Amino acid sequence: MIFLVLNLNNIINQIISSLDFELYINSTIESIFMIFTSSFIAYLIGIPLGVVLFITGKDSISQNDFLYNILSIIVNIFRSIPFIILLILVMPFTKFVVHTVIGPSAVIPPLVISAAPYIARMVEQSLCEVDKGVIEAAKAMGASNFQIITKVLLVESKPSLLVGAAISITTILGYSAMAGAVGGGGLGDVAIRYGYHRYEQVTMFVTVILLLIMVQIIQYVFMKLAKKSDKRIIN
Amino acid sequence: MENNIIEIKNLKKIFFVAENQIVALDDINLQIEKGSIFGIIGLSGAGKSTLVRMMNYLEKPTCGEVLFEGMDLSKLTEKSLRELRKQIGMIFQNFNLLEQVNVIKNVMFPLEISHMKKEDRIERAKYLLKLVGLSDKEKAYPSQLSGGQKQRVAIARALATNPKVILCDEATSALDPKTTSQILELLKKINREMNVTIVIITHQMSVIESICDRVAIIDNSKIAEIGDVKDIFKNPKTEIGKKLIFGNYVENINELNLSSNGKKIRLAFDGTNSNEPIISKMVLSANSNCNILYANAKEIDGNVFGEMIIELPKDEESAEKMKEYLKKSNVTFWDV
Ligand SMILES: Nc1ncnc2c1ncn2[C@@H]1O[C@H](COP(=O)(O)OP(=O)(O)OP(=O)(O)O)[C@@H](O)[C@H]1O
Ligand SMILES: [Mg+2]
Repeated sequence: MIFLVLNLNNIINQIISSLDFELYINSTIESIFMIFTSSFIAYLIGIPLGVVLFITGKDSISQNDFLYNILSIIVNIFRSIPFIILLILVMPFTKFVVHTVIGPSAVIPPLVISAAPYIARMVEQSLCEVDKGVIEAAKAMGASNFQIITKVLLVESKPSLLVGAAISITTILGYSAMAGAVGGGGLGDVAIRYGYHRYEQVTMFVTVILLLIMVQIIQYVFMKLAKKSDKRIIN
Repeated sequence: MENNIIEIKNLKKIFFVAENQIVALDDINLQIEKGSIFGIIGLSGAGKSTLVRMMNYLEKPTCGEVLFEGMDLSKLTEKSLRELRKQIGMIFQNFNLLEQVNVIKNVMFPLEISHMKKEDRIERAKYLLKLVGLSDKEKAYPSQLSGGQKQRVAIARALATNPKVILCDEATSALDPKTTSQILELLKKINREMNVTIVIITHQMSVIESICDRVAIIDNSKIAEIGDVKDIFKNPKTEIGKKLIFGNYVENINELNLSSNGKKIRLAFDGTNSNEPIISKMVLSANSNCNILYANAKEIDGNVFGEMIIELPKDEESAEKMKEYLKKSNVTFWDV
C-alpha cells in the first residue's frame, strides 16, 4: 500500500517536473486572445447582420424578401465551408489585413469570417423568440423600426442572446484550437506540435484539460449571466 | 361630423394567404363619437381585431377610408402616422408588456420614444401608476404581477402620451369576472375624468352591457347591427344579436329534449309585461301543468327581456286555454 502511494507520488512529481509551465501559460493567453478578439469582432458583425435577417424576414417589421434571401444565401454559404478549408481559402485576405499568415493574429480573420454568419443566425433566432405582441404594442405606441430594434428586440432577447453567446464562443474556441494545424498558435498549436508530431501524450493531455476548463468557464459565466438577466424568472 | 373622433367609411379588408383570399371585413361603416365608449362585439374570427387595428393603421384597409378627427389616415406619411399613433393608446388581451423591464420603465416607454426628458418621464409615470393604483409596484417586473395588475400597467402605459382614444382588444378576456369589472371601472373612470374616447372589443356581452354607450355587432366580416346599447339590448334584430344577448339561443329545438313529445312553443318577452307572473297565471288559467324546457332572460332597466320554450300539456283543451291566455296578455309566441 505505502509502496503504491510512494510510487504514485513519484509519477506525479515526474509529470510536474516535466511540464513546461511557461509554454502552457503563454499558449493559454494566446488562445484567450484569439477567442475574445475574434468573438468580439464577430459579434460586431453578427448582431447587425442577425437584426437585418430578422427584420427583413417574413411578416417582420420591415419584410424584404429580396434582401432576406440574398443575406440568407451568403450566410449559408459561409456556414457550409468547413473551418479548416476557410482558413486556407482566406489566407490572401488574412495576409492583406494582418500582414502575416501564421500566429494568433493570423487566425482572427478566418475565425471572424466563419463565426459572424453563425452568430447572425443565433441572433436572428433569439429575436424570433421575442413576443410578437410586444412588437405590435411598440408599433401601436408609434415606435420607429430603429426604436423597436434598440428598445424592444435587443432588450427583450437579452437572456437568449447570452445563451447564444455561450454556444457561439465555445464554437469559436473549438475553431481556434483547429487553427493550430496551420501554426495558428494557442493551445491547439501546442497540442498538434507536441502531442501529435512529437507524440508527447502528457502535453496533449494537459492542453485538452486546459481547453476543457476554458469551455466550462465560458459556459458557466454566460449561462449564469443569462439567468441573472432574465426577469421572467422570479427569484 | 366634427363630433366623431373616428369614422370608418365603406371599409373592406382582404387578406391574401397563398392563393386564397380571406375577406376579413366588408362594407364597414361606423362613427365613434368623441368622449364615448364604443363596443365592438362578435364571435371569434368575425374580424374584430382586424377592425380595431385599422383604427391606428397597424393594418391598412384594402379599400375604404379611416378618418381620425376628419383626417384620412391613408394620406399620412409613415412618420406622421407614428406621431398620430401617440394620440391613440392601445391595450391587449395578453397585456404585451416588456418582460425584461420593470413596471415604471414600461410606463415610461412611450415617453422615451417621444424623447421626453428623463425627469419628466419619471414624474409622469409615477403619476400614472398612482392613477391605476400601482404606486407600490414601480420596481416590480411584469412576471411578478397578477393579470389584473399587468393590465393596469398596460393602461398606465397607454395613457402616458395623453391619448385621445384608447383601443382595447379583448382587454379583459384573460381576467376573472371580479378583475374584469375592476378594469372596466378603471376604463370608465378614465373615460369620464380624462375625457378619453374608448373603443372596446370583446366577445362578452356583459362587457358591452356594463360600460358601452354604443355597440356594433360584427358577424361574418360585416356589421350586423349597430346602435345604442340600450336599444340593441331591448330589441336585437338579427340572429347573431339575439345569440349574443340571450346567450346560447336555441336554434334547434330537437336538441333540447327528444323524449318529450308534447307540443312546444317559444315565448318572447320584450320587456312590456315583466310585472306580471305570466307563467303561473297561464298555468292557473288552464288548471294544468306545463314543462319549462328552456329559459333565458335578462333584466334591463327593470324590464325583462328574453325567451322561454315550454312544452304544453298533452290534452288539447288545456293547451288551447294556455295559448288563449298568452294571446290575451300580449305575449309573443310561436309553435316550434
Ligand atoms: N394577418 C392575417 N393574415 C391572414 N388572415 C388574417 C390575418 N389576420 C386576420 N386574418 C383572418 O381574418 C379573420 C378575422 O380575424 P380577426 O383576428 O380580426 O378576428 P377576431 O374577431 O378578432 O377573432 P378573435 O375573437 O378570435 O380574436 C379571420 O378569418 C382571420 O383568420
Ligand atoms: Mg381578436
